[in-house]
Order: sequence, then structure tokens, then C-alpha cells
Amino acid sequence: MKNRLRELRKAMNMTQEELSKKVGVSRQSIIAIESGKYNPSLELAYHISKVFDLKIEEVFIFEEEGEQ
Amino acid sequence: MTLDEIGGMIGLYGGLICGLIGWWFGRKLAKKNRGLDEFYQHIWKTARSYSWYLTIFVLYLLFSLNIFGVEMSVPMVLAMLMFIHIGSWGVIGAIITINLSRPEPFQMSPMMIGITIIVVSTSILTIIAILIKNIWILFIAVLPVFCNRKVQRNAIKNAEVCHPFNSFSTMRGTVYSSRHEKR
Repeated sequence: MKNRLRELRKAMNMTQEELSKKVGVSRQSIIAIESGKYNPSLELAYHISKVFDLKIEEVFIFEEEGEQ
Repeated sequence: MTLDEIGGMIGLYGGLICGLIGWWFGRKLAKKNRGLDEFYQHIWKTARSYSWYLTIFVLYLLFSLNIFGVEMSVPMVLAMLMFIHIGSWGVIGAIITINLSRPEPFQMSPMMIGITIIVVSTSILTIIAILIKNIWILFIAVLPVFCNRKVQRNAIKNAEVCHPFNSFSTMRGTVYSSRHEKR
């Protein structure tokens, strides 16, 4: 699963700490999600998308297995 | 009640109380930084899962030792299992936390993996050998050495496939890929 978190956050001039406060998680969680090491739950993905005023699929891009 | 029993009681319940206090304060501090989130749950559930694998391995090791005639007391076996289970839970949790919290993945060199395998396995087996007064147990240390050789061989293969122009150190010295040597 890819995501546009960093791109969207920078476009809104928001720090990782600020985003983490808005969605109620630790900064480490945002780092792990941004670097693609951790896929958030549906609930957290929804909250993150709400911050950017976008749909979940506009922030998180699902890739089929084997797709480059 | 003997002095040993009193010491055992202090160690057992003192350790439990200290552990619970540390755990409680740790959670309190983490809560302040919104640290008790789903990412935290994911890390510690994964660590617990791995620690169970390790505990099962130690259970098999202890059963095997029993079959080979090594006798150990109940407290000794329980202490070993408790140490391995709780210790590995904590260590693996810390490693996963560090690895996932870094923007760049933490990669251990093949040499460091090799040294870690040998040092950890030899230390554990030496402690067991001293406790049960049977030096032959140390021969089991040959198994981790074979595992280490496998790690080193894979590292050499990966170096040739993925990093053709790189060199790195292994337990057998610096390895240069074939393409590197040609140049």
C-alpha cells in the first residue's frame, strides 16, 4: 500500500507532530505510515484522510499483488 | 524458612513489583505523547508472537536435554523459560520499535548478525552448562555456527546479485564481488 501522506502534509505546511496530534496518534506512527512500513487501520486512515479533506483512496493507494 | 528461600521470595516478588511499577510509569509517559495507539499495539503484539516462537524452541531444547539425560530442577527450567519469554518479548519489541520508527530501515551487516548469533547462543549454552554442570551441552553451539555460515553465504550471494560493485566484511574477511574484481 502506497500513500501520499508526506506530499499532502508538505502541501499543507504541516509537521509530523501536528498531524499526529490531529489524528490522535504518536509521531512514530506517522513516520512509519509515511515510510510505508506500517499500514494504518481503516479508522486511522479515515481520520488522516479527513485532515486533508480527501477520500481514503485519494490518500492511500492500494496496489494489487505483483503490480509495480 | 532458609536464607535462600527468603532471597528467592524477594527476587520473585520484588522483581514482579519493580516490573509492574516500570510498566505502569512507561505507559503513563507514553499516554502523554499519544504513544498507546494502534501502532504501539501492533509492535507489542508482533513482539509477543515472536517471543512465543522462541519459547517453543527453548521448550524443545529443554525436552531434548531431558531425553539426553540432563537433569534440571523445576525452578531452573521455569526461570529459563520466564527469562527467555519475557526477555525476548522486550528485546524484540524494542528492535521492532526502533526499526519502524526510523525513516530509513536499520540494516545489520552480515558480520554483526554472525557475531550476535554466536555470542548469544554460546552465552546461553555456557550458562546452562554451568548450571547443570555438564560441559557437553556446549557442543550444541555448533548448530548456531552452521546457521551463521548460511547467513554469510546468503550475504555473499546477495552482494553479487544486488550490489555488484560493492564490497563488505563477513566473518571470513572482506568480500568483493566477481565483477568488482574484474575491474
